[in-house]
Amino acid sequence: MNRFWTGVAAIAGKDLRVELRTRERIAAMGAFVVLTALLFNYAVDRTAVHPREIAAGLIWMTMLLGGLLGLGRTFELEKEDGAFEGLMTTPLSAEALYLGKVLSNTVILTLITALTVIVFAIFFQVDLSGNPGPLAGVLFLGVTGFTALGTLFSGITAGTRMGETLLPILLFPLLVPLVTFGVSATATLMAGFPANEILGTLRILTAFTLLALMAGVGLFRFIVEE
Amino acid sequence: MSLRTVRWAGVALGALGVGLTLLFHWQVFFWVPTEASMGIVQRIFYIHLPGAWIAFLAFGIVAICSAVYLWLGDDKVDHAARAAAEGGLIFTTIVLTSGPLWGKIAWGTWWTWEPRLTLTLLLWFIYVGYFMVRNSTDNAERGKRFAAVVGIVGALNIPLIHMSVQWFRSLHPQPVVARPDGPNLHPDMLTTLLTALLAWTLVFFSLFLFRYAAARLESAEELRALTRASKAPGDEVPVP
Amino acid sequence: MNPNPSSPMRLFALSPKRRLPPLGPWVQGGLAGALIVLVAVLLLTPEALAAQGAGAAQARQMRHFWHVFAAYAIAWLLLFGWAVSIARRIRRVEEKLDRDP
Repeated sequence: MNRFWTGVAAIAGKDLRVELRTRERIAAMGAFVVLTALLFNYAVDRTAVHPREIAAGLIWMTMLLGGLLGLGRTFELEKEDGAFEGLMTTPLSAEALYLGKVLSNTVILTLITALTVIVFAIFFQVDLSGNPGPLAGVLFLGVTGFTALGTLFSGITAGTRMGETLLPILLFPLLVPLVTFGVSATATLMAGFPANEILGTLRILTAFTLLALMAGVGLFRFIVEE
Repeated sequence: MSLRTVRWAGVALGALGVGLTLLFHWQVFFWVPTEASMGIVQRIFYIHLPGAWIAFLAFGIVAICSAVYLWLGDDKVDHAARAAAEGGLIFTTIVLTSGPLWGKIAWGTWWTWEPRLTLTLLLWFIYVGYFMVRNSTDNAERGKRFAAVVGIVGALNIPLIHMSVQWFRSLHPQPVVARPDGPNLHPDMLTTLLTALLAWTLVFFSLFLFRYAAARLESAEELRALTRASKAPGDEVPVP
Repeated sequence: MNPNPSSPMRLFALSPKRRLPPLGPWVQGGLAGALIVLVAVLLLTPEALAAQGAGAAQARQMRHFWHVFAAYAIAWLLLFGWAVSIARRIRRVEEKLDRDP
């Protein structure tokens, strides 16, 4: 068991170190979310509705679209120079590989989500002071569920001719629970309601995330085996 | 199950299904009373509900066959999963076209974010994704495994998606048949509905069996071509 | 499944001696017949339905009828199309087997 977690940490550490040195994904995703927020300013008619009032939905959509950009490239590095075959010859199990990838993706996407929230707070004066702790918790749960499912499907799309273009088609129908309950919980918290108002929603979000992780751990083996 | 059994089962179910389909069309157009508040358009109900029932049934078959395929790796199970997915795609399309045609008259709008209609649309996209994954892999074995994973994850998610679409208030008529206090349909309407349900279930299983047999024949033919190519000319070709 | 290894596997004609009529055309023929009957039924129903709703606003009735017609027609075209595509698949394999058994 200990060796398993060492493997998970090794994979996550490798990915994060690569990311730290190249900063390719973070830079692309960061620029994407800032520019999307900028475009929202012109896309939303401010005389009809202020972006602040629909901030929860906009934040989630920005996070998902930006995240998709990075998740689609989860296995980009491994596709080159037979690196994936090299990875599979190590004693590392497929489950550890999956969890490692989820971990590194979650770390990266958490940073991007934090950036999204900050950008919205600055651009549209979204008030975050009400419930910062529970808000961060909901967003983190959402990010984890998203990367758990996204990493699994990214493994699938990496093996197809269509590549990343297939990812949203597979992923978006299944993200409906995440968006519905995530946005609802975020909006409730942003409106200043206490955290115990969202316990029901939180339970479903947790169920989604656990289900996604379990499906990933159980099924990733069949995606990587030759 | 041998192909001979599959064939006869398919023919028998198909004949029965087509016969019952003709019967339920007669019932729908000449026999069943017109519903008081919605009028004639309510007759779409008799294909809408059976379509939805089969769409979800097919998805269940896809999920179970996908899981068994990943477990045992038997190509036959994968053929069954693909056959069910094709049928599911056809029947979800039927639900998604008949629903708005009904809704436009009954509710005055083509589309509402009604939970069950939305769920069917999402199901349709999951089926589309299933086939896109299948058809865009260079390695066929891989495509089967990928598609199986999509089928299983989709099925696991359906209850949660159902809960989320329920979150929005429903315009859709509440269940009229599967109710705790018994169905509240006119008995003739219920008879028509049940005939339609049975007829299309049989038609679905008949076409499902033929599609399954076609897939088995195709893979046998591929195998034959492969063995022939790998052997010297004149050798006896084994038939799988 | 096939006791005689030299004869190719067939779904609808299991051995060359006991050849049954190929079923692809059956399926197509049967479904085409059913479709013709149904179209006839559908074309005859405006009168039947109009008779039921006699006196009610005719134009609205016709609109309702066209929606019902479209829904049933689309459903039937889809099912028919699926059946034809399956029959085609089976015929293609059988023709291949006929060409080089």
